[in-house]
Amino acid sequence: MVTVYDEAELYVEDELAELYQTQWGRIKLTWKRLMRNKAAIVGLGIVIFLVMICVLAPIIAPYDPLELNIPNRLHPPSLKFLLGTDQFGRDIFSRLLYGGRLSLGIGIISVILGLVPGVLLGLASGFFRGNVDAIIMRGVDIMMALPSILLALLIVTVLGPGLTNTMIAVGIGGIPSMIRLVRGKVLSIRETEYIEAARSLGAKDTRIMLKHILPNCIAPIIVVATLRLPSAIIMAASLSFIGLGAQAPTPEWGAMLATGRHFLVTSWWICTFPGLAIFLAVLGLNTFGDGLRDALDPKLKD
Amino acid sequence: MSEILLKIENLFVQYDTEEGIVQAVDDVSLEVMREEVFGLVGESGCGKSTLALSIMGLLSKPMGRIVSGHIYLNDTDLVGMSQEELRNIRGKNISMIFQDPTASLNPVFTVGDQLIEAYRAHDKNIEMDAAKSKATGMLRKVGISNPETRITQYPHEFSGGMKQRAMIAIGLANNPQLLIADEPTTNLDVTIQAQILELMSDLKKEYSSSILLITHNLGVVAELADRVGVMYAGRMAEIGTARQIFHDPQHPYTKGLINSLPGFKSRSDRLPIIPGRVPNLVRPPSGCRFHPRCPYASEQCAVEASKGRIIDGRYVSCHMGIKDLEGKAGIRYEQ
Amino acid sequence: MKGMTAYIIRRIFFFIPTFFVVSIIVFSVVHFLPGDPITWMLVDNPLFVSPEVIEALTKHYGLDKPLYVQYFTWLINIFKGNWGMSMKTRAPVLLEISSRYLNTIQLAISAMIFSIVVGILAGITSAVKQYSWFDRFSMFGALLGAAMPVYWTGLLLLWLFAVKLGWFPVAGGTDLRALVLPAVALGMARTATMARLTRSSMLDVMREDYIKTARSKGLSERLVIYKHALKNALIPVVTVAGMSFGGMLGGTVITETIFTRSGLGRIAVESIWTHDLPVIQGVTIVYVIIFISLNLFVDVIYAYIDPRIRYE
Repeated sequence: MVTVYDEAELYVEDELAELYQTQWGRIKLTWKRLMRNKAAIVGLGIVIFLVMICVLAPIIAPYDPLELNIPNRLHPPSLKFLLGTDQFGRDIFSRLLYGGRLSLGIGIISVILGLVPGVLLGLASGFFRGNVDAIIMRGVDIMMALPSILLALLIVTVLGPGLTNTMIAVGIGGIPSMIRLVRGKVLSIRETEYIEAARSLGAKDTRIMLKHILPNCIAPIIVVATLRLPSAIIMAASLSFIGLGAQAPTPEWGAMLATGRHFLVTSWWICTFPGLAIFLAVLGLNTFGDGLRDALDPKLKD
Repeated sequence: MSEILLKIENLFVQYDTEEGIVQAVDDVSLEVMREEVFGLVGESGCGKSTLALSIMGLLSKPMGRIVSGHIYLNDTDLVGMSQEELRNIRGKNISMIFQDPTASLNPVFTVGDQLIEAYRAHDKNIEMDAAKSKATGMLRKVGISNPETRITQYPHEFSGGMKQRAMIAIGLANNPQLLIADEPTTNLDVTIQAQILELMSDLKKEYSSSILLITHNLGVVAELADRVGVMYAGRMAEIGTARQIFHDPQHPYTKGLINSLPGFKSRSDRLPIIPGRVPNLVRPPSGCRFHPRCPYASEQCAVEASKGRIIDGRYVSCHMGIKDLEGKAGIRYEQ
Repeated sequence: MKGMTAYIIRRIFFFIPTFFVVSIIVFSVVHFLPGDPITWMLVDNPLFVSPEVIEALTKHYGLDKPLYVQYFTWLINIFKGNWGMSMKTRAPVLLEISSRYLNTIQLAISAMIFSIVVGILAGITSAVKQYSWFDRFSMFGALLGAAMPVYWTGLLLLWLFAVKLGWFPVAGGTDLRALVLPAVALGMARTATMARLTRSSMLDVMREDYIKTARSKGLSERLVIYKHALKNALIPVVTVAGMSFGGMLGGTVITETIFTRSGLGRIAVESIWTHDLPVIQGVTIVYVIIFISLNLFVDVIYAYIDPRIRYE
């Protein structure tokens, strides 16, 4: 390079080097801060515990979750059936374990499904601005003009009920807010001087987007994704609850709540435990997500 | 009535932080006379803002607190006063204006509303119309044109300089005896700076107030201040008249500051700097806090800081400085 | 109020095209269906499905005409008030909807009011008395409350207060008593979020410089908190409250099912099950209208609180 550019390059390289250094350093710092937050650790622990027992369902579950066992129907929790049986004699505990794979799995997959297009569109919108931005934001506004459940319902109407379609419906519902978030972050980073400096050195657009802007967005994306998981799980369970998601006899937690609802007074255990499971999963994810957000936010909080 | 309006005596102020206790103000004493402009100078983090907030009783609890010392306003000690009593004084006897006028005005209320509030806080029976006309007059006085319209506008409709004028209006609304100005011009353009300083000078004469001018900008101090106090790392290094400080600094820190000003006595091409950095106030250096950076430091300085002495109306807290001053005044140096 | 009328007009102009685009989406749902619409609608009555019937119904619904003609006919009909007939009950769709939509709005608004009032009050008190037992207690409660999905809260409340204690009706009813449990259940999670948000927002605002200015004027602590701090702190709270309206409306679907309330939610679900296309379309349009109106309302309140918005 010619001498004229040397200093500018040094300036930029310095800032970038610092940034990347602090990138790793930042991750370590975030981890330290996170570990200080006891509630977040407990939340994470709950989530990991739930995930593990569901993953290990084939090994742990004492009974086949789908096997009908009419003579044993409506047993309260006992040593034989840890959490009792439902109206078809199926063991609630086993159904809970297998159902967890579905409920948690749907949550994770839908969030990922929504994440990818959301991030890409947000990046494009914030970075290219102009017409691209206008079109995308219009789309977002329109999508947000519908309550998310309604959107999900419409999608399920078209595609038909079922597990996969639930995932798609829930996933799509998360796209508009992700686009807004990423776009906002991109817009604020754009204005920083080091992007201008990188540009003046002739860095290509895509390179700037990927190498400089994206890493800075990752933090809030992770937080939002983590905090969106519980909503996704709840929404999927809601769809199953009204009968449009998982179909009987699938032991998805929401579906279990729906069937158990009619036996609320007599056999409370049928819907209490799935509800409790959802509650714990959401609680754990919420606390962990909050802790994550606080750890990433340099501002001193209380 | 004595000449002394504000007398701070051996003030100690602490902050409890995550990393430890910070001695933000360490045994500071100073006096502000009536109708004088006292410039309080120092780098960021030297404790000058903390000092100002302590006077007003506005330290952010629970972290900050006055450990010991006295702050006398007209012979009444403000330290230990209840919040109720302090509220009577704030905005009436002592006012404060802050560095960033954009952040200091509430964005969701009109400027007029916030100015009228200042009147009503200390005169509960004032009528709305009377307050409004007072406010309009005040805005005009600080140099805001079209005050009748401006009164109904929101802060974001004002320029930076105008916002600071509005803040000054709020500060002087009840004719306080002391106006504390914390970096009043730092966030403004240079040309506006000059206007604001001139405004403050005019108003001070008109209202017969004293101004405690806090800044890190020596130019501003040179322009307005009668007397100057130099703070470093929570301690008072030197106090004197503006002339004395600029032309005959005694504390090595002050000397370093003055020497680093372009145009002031510097003959070489490079601006002289004070080597090193401001110390971490959680673990300050032993003895004199400036000694690691001081070109005249002796062994004594590392062990024991000078208690400071007043000679010929000047205050200096440096072993060497005291020696010099005494030499000049013809006094024999004593430990 | 300065700039308000202009702002409101601008917002209305913004919503109009949104409404039209949504109407296009609702309309096109028909054409995304697997197979042709008639067969889809008659899925429960396969015996009726013969080529003659299909042809007759296609003509009747105008499905043989070009798309844009269909759309505009449909749209004009919507505006004329001709929303078609329910396939299931043979009653006019508009009738089905008009007898129910008030219930749903009532439920959604009650839940919103509950969550806003309780949430904000709890949040303010927690912020002002930071670290007190009230603060810790309510924040912990908020943490739990935020994790409870509507149906679980609903079922719990139903079981405890209706079945066991009998204070409230178990099902149905349109009076005030029947509104309490569903509104609380629906609003519970939002209350928790509101409380936490208000608290953190207040804490943030209390750190701002203009609060220092207010104090330096000698204002009473009450004025400082409830005038200067609160108005600013409410800004993000109102935003979130507004955004959660959608969730609230959506939640009516579940809540109405649990508490067996007559409303749009239940009929939405039923119509999806019975493939009752006219009802599905009608209900969606109504939901969108309600949603847009509520959003407009929230925007106006937002602009009232924060004057800077009016000039955007």
